[in-house]
Amino acid sequence: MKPFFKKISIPIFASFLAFPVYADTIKVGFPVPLTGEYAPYAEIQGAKCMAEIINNKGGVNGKKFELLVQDTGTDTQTAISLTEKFLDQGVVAIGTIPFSDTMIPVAQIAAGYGVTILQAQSTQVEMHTGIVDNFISNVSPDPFTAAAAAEYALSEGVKNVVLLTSDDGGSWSAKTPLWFGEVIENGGGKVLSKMNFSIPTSDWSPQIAEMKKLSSSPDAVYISSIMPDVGVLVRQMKAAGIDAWVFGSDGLDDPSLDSVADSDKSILDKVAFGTLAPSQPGSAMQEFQAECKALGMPVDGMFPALGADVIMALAYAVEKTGGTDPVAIREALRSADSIPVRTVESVSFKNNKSHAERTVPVIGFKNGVRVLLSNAIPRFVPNWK
Amino acid sequence: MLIVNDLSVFYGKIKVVHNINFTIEEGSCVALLGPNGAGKTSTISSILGTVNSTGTVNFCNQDISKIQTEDRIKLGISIAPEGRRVFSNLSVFENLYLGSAIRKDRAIADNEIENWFNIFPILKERKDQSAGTLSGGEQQMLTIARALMGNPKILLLDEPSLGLAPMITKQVFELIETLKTKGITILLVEQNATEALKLADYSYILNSGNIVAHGNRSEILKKGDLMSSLTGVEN
Amino acid sequence: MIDYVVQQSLNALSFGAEYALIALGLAIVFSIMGLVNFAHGEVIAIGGYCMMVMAAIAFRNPIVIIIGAIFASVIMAVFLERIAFRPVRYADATTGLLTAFGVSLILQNLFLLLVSPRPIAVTSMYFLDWPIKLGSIRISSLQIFETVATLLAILFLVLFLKRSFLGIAMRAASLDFEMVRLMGIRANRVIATAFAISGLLAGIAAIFIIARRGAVDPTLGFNPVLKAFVACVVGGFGSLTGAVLGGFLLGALEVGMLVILPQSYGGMKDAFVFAVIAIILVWRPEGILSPQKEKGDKI
Ligand SMILES: Nc1ncnc2c1ncn2[C@@H]1O[C@H](COP(=O)(O)OP(=O)(O)OP(=O)(O)O)[C@@H](O)[C@H]1O
Ligand SMILES: [Mg+2]
Repeated sequence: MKPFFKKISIPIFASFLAFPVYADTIKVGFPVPLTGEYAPYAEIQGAKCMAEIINNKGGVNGKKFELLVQDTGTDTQTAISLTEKFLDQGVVAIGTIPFSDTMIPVAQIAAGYGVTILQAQSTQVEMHTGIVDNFISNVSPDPFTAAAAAEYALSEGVKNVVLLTSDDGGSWSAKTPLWFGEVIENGGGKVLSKMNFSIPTSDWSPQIAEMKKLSSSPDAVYISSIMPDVGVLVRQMKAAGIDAWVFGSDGLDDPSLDSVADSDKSILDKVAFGTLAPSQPGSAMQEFQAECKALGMPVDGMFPALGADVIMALAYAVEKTGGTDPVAIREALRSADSIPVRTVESVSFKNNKSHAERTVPVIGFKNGVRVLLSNAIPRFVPNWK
Repeated sequence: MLIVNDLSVFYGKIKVVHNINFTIEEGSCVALLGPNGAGKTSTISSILGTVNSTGTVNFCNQDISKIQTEDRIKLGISIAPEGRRVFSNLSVFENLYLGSAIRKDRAIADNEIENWFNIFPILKERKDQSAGTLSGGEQQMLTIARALMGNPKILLLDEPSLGLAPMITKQVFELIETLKTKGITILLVEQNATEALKLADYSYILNSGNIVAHGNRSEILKKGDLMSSLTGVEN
Repeated sequence: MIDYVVQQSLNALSFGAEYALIALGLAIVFSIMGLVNFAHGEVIAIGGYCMMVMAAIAFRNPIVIIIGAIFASVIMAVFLERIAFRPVRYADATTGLLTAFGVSLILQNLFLLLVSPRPIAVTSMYFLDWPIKLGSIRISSLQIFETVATLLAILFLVLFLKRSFLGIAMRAASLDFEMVRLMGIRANRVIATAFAISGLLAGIAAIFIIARRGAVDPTLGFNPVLKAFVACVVGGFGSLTGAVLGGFLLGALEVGMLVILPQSYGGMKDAFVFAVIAIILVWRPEGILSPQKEKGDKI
């Protein structure tokens, strides 16, 4: 996930209970960042829409979803207070600020109630070190997106790479590039150089001058950072005449990247990123977004859309167990071979317990339009635990 | 021209001037005397509207006690404040230029600056020098000149001789004398009561925020010991 | 090698130009009001959002967009002064600082709730950016524009402050605000002018930031303003020359550290930058060019 440095923010409690209270409902708690630093990553829009879709069809075993949503303003303490409140109201699972600072204490509190933190979009490796047992991520951690991108890079003949690293985003921006480099070297390539950057960065000319200075020119640059920063990197590299791929992580998965091609359709031809769910035209995610729009519940972008998977997984577990006991639900999730979700065909938590096994898409561009370059479970993933 | 009625000044809850009354006739020079901390500067500030006060200040038949400081200045009240407060980072010329802020006719104002330079050749010499580098006496001249640039109806002078050598003090009082003969109405606050009493047509003695005596020079001097203890003037 | 040094020096210069431009906007308000206007970043952001809106309603003429953005920033700066800073004008410095912080956060959250928490593409300023080759040195036209614009802004400010009546009054106000009022000069006018100028500088900064980033988001201006704040502290808060000097110094330090530090120390870049700044502040606690404090009266 994409933590940058923390900043004070004013929680604006902008959201309310989404549904009327039914006698017997499946309650899911969302003490999430609707405002503040991490607001872009809230999964609420997709979760709400999917709950609506399921409720419209009569719910699960006659039970309807009831989402308890309240803004944390990207503040951990607020998230903890809200978690306690939601636990008292009998939620079966909780989704919160997708950053270990928050997820760990929230999980520790929820553990007392047997409730699971079911996180739609968390890729942080810190969550899988066994610190808490009641955490499940709907996606694969960062090493998987790095490996998927690297495997695609190797298939394109990439040999020499430059890695851009930053400590500002934790392991996501510091280590993901190194995992990418490991897979490249495992496939016979070479890491030419590692360079530093800060988040945010709006001018990459010092790093680019360094790239120009390298004895052999790189075939690819890897970076795990945010938009619009990476868009600037792409343009400045092109302007400096560096003809290399730019590979990245889910941080690039933002509509504002597509706009970089507004004036030059070919500029994104060698830009690709390993991400959490396919988002190219015609993908399941885009269909879902269209369906939600028709319901009057727009879902902007991938992170919000991933909320749909969480609701579908819960629906599956409720149906399987025939009830809303949170511990039974967690067991059902972890024992299933395959759980149908919305942004990819299915996920499974059987092998990894705390994160999903699912295909990792690599998205690229042709003529300024997103295309799915590959979508598989990576064969070689660096040892990251 | 200026009628102060039932004026009290407050700093927070503390009342430092207590319901005083005084009047300044057009064209006259009135002195406000008293020991340190008597409330002289506070009185002046209340005329200017920069402190909290109650009571009324009537200027040219208009109650100005509720209007903004800037507007009072525009009506023709000018101040050469205690401690001079020249803009030390500005040049001598710029200080005078700002003094003409309320004048609409810039050309006349420019003439006036020239005029002052004639009266104080030293200021002309230092025209482009920053005011902070002037000597104390020069700064005092500049302060008075700056106050007069706006062509005021009344000039408030707060301790113009403060910290000046006797020679320079003499020059300052000569200047005030000249202003007086030009018919400018003056309110003069001074520690140097001997000189001030000579200059003023009428004087008020302030002690601990109360007017304890008033009158012309001979009337004040008649009050004897009390006055000498308050003003240091020997009979 | 020499080319590389020249190349990185030019990069440092353009980093510095951006910081200096924003720092000037902070300094001009601080010098007069003693207010550290953290909401300056949101004044920049408004310029960016204005460009977004104009692009959305199909304004194509870049001149119109540039003027519109600058105008929006100026209006925003003056508006903030009127509704947020005037009521606390005579309060102590901490109150002003907290007010500015509050305004900044409220605006950021408004952008977030009313527009989007994510970056929105604004590509209408891309035309300002094309590569220029000078021998083996490559620079971007934007670097030149930004440096030149900063220098022009400085020149304009110097002329304004030296030659115009309001400019002279602003300099006087930075020393003794009450005395300026006692000259019959309206305080509101002087302060509104200071804010308008800071808004103008913010609008110009917004154009360059958008030309480079090609997107607006709620923190568009906040992060650069933090840098500019550091520049002001180093240069001497309240001194305009100090702000410019601090901006260029910070640019040089940042690029220098990025280039000199080995990658394994990369995470320490900011620590090193701040260590150098701390040393400067030990040497000159008020910043390099702190403005004179005394009133200059010889009593
Ligand atoms: N800003 C202030 N806050 C609180 N008290 C004040 C303030 N200014 C003046 N005072 C108090 O008000 C009283 C009158 O002060 P003021 O300056 O008017 O005296 P003054 O007659 O001008 O004295 P001096 O001859 O020393 O200039 C004093 O007791 C002083 O301590
Ligand atoms: Mg006094």
